[in-house]
Amino acid sequence: MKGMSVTLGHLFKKKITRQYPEYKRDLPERSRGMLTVDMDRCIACLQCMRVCPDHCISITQEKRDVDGSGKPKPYAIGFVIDDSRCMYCSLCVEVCPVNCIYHTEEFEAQAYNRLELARQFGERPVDPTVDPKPPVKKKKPAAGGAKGGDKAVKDEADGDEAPKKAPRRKKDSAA
Amino acid sequence: MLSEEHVKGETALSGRASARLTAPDVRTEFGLETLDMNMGPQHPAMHGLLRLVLELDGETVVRCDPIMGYLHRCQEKIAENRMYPAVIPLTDRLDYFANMHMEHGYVLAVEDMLDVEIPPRAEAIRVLMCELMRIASHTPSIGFLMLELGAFTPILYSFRERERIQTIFEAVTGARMMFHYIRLGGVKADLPPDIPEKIWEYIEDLESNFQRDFVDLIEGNEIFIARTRGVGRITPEKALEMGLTGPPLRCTGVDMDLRRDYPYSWYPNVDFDVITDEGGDVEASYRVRIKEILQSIRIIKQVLENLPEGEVMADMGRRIRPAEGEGFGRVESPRGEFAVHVVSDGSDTPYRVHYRDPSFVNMQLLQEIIPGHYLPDIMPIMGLIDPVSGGWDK
Repeated sequence: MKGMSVTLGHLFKKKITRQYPEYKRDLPERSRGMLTVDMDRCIACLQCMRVCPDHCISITQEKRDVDGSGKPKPYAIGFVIDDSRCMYCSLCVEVCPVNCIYHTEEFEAQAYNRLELARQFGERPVDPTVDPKPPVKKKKPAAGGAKGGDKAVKDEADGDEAPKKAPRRKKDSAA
Repeated sequence: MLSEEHVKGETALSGRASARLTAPDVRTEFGLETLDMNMGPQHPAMHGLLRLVLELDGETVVRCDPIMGYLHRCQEKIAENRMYPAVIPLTDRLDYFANMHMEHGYVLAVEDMLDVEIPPRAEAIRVLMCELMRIASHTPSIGFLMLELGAFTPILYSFRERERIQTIFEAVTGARMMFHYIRLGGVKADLPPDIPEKIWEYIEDLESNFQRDFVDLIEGNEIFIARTRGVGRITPEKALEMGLTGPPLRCTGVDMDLRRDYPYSWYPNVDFDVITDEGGDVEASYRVRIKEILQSIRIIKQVLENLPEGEVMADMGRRIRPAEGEGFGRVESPRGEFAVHVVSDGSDTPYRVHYRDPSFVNMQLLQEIIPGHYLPDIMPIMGLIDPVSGGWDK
């Protein structure tokens, strides 16, 4: 009976549930929705592509003399964000030097086909199925295996520096 | 068929022994027939994806084998191929009811190798968020326990509380569940200016509702007592032997809490009690959780009152590359001790990451204490352990 009194008390309170599709709550300022790119500002530095843990951003770069200075600069001719891979971690937004990639307030993404979720931003579409980053190359520790002494690990660490910088754009002619 | 040691062994039947199993004349006269039954992986009352292979004698469980792995995502292996900061959003996916604690554990382990000074404000915000997360994790676990006992109302109230905390988290971090907020060297961003006031308001609301919605509604109820008192009883020795941590350990009377015993982050600066209970059964674990929520409220109030000023992020540089070595960090998550061991080979991806998840370790208890209980007692015992699928399968 005591339990019933609690329930009755709640009957007359303000409702805490909302009818979602009709009623949409205001999202806070920091809300992380679907990504979008301002292609006018993009300098094709490829940092977002490199930092993305899910390989969801893929950029095709081209040298182009955009501002008419006579010096061709990198230009993102193709830019795709694959929302079926994105996990909204916001790492690309933080790394962008010109703040051209940012979160919108949209969060309702749905499609019949997975490829429809890959949104193209550039002039030339990029094939979203091609992985933009090769898998991180990690040398196996020398024959000693996992327990092999520190030396093996150290050698590997020294030799590892060069390939770590490797994740470069893949020349994809697929477009 | 039941083997001899199952029948005779005292350990296998630590709970309520079935009369059919223990009376030898019944067995010789009628023979002993047991029934194998699968519970899960898709079971409406199961916590996540877990399959229990049960051997039943009538309604008494004789043997219980938990089978895990239905949500295994190779978290540890994936972490080896990602740069240090990019592992943090993955740790959110471990124990999805206590994401902040998972982030905090991993970040502590990497910072152990980096040897950086974390700004005090960042530490205080981390503790603030973790304690809010503890409330947001303990209230649904009480709700689930009651749902399994057939009471539907508490889960609505507990999710109301969780929902409000998630709204606070959304304003602070930008996401409702997968926060990616605690970073190497601090936190992602400072609290928005209106948030301390909102948290304060929420905490006061919770305090005023708490007694009515979570204590009075549940504690004295005869059905609740009949279904939980003496169910899943563990002795402190057994609990220590099984490596339990968190509320399942503290409800047996063992006084252990990492926040006090191995203080990390901002915890040395706050004052709180470690809650223990003598019962060691499901009811005791409920009482422990209820009182821990009140302690979390106490911690949040202290942190909000003395929130230090200053930066929230240490200067670390963009590329994080710890020296060769090992880092270890552990936090008291709502389910117990969450520990992370990171091995670095000097490159910018970890050489090895290992998570010690409390759900996984506490699940060992199922095999030990379920035999001897009735079939409907399994779900309250799951409520005692309160495992999370993302945690035990990683």
